[in-house]
Amino acid sequence: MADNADHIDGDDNEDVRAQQNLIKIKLKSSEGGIYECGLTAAKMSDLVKNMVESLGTDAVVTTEPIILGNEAVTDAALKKIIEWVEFHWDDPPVDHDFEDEKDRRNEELSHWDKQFIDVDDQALLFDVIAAANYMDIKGLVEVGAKHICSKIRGKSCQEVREMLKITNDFTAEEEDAIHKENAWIYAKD
Amino acid sequence: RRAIPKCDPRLDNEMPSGSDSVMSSRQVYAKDSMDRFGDDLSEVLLSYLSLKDRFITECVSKQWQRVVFTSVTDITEDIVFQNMSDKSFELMVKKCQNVRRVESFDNAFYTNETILPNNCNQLDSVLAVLSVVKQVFGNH
Repeated sequence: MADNADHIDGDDNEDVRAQQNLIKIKLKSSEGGIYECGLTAAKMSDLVKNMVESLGTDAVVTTEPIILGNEAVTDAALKKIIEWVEFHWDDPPVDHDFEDEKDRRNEELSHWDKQFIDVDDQALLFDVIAAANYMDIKGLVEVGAKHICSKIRGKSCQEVREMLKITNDFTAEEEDAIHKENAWIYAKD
Repeated sequence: RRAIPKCDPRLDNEMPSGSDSVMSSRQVYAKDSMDRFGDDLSEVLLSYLSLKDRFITECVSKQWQRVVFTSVTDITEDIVFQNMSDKSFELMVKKCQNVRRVESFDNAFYTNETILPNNCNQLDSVLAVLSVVKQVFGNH
């Protein structure tokens, strides 16, 4: 790993991070669209971060676009992702202490994130999530996951299938058996 | 509606028998269908569900059933233990193979101490869980 990269990513150096974000790099979607993104923001993607660092110097990446070949990275999805990382790049670093991690998992999404991820077009929503997963942006995958789980809350199997367009590959007998196994969950005290 | 290739077909080592042939052939899924996601991503996406919602939605699909319990590490929700028989407790534990901690026993009728060690893979954790069970019993 280059010393340069370690220096740039130092959590304690907010000024460097802010300066680095003034450097614009180009990200290319699987549909061919090229979009600008601040360097610090773009590096929220571990995939992009590794690509940038493998190029040696940050100067190189300002000329050639970074190609994001996964089909989920459509123009629309990439625009959403850039919007998200440009909003979140100066978030405080995530603490991986067990209890803090648990609290973070249980924390509700911020108002901004809720509005950001509440996308009517489910194909786009799933593209954003799949693209964030491909680009290894853990925070954004988490936002997508919390959003989906909040929509599942309180719904029946059939309602979930309809909402998320999931094919039921159980036979009626198999489904019945699972319902019987889990009947206790509906019991009231 | 099936037009788009699955984007993350990484296979898990521990697929239930019978599903291998289905998963290894390259399938195409609609872009607005959650069927498009592989097991790894689906597991992450469902990991924020409450334990209750996991059981209620277990029968959504075979993939869902395969991944919805794998991220359960804590069983702490009181509601889960209401009116629960030994048999139901055993079934629950069988489904939550990665559980590390059990808390909040409202009803202390899990008299069969073999249920946990017989059904959980994480043996160290199971012992910890058992000690919790024993402790609860000791106090009653």
